Amino acid sequence: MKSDDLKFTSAREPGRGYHDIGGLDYGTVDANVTEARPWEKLSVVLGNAIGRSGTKLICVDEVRRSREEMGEQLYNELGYFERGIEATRRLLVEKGIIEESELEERMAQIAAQIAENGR
Amino acid sequence: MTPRLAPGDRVQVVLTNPPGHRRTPFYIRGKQGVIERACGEFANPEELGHGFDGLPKKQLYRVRFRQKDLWANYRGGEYDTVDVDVYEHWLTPLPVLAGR
Repeated sequence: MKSDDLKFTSAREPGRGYHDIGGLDYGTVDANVTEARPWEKLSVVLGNAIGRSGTKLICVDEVRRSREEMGEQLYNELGYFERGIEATRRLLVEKGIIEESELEERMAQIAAQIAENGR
Repeated sequence: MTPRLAPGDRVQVVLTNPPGHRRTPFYIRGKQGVIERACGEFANPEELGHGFDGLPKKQLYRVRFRQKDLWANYRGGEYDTVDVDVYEHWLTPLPVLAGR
């Protein structure tokens, strides 16, 4: 999404969170429903697995709060599922459940594996 | 716990913009509406969002607002409404109108 499309950001009143956009002018809503991509579905599964219906490491309200704290610029750059996984990552680090370095190591491992095997 | 407010009661949403995780949308803050129903008690998401247990539970209500009370220059019908779920601590009871 282009940032030009986000007309409502300049119209925000003082005290209004950047996520709290109900009623602001967003322009035309794209009504084309698209199938969620596999990683998007997996991100929801992960959230459920460690959420209140799973191992209870985090809860949905904490993830929402984390979305509200990532900063307006990043929030608006990311898509819906990206925001969710970014908020979850920040929350897991904040709560000391994982370390940033641990995550980066694992991501590098997976990237290397994909480069080698193509998946 | 019995709900403090009943269907038909007039209420005003508290006009405040505090920091922290809040579930009351900005567009109804300070606005007047009517209790449509009590929805039950739930752990307080404003506390859950910051790692607390959210207890004691808070009573949640469905509050009905006139669209024309929420939006400047609303051009729809006079009696168009919108329902929003709001927790009790965000609601101030308003006096009963004379003649009702």
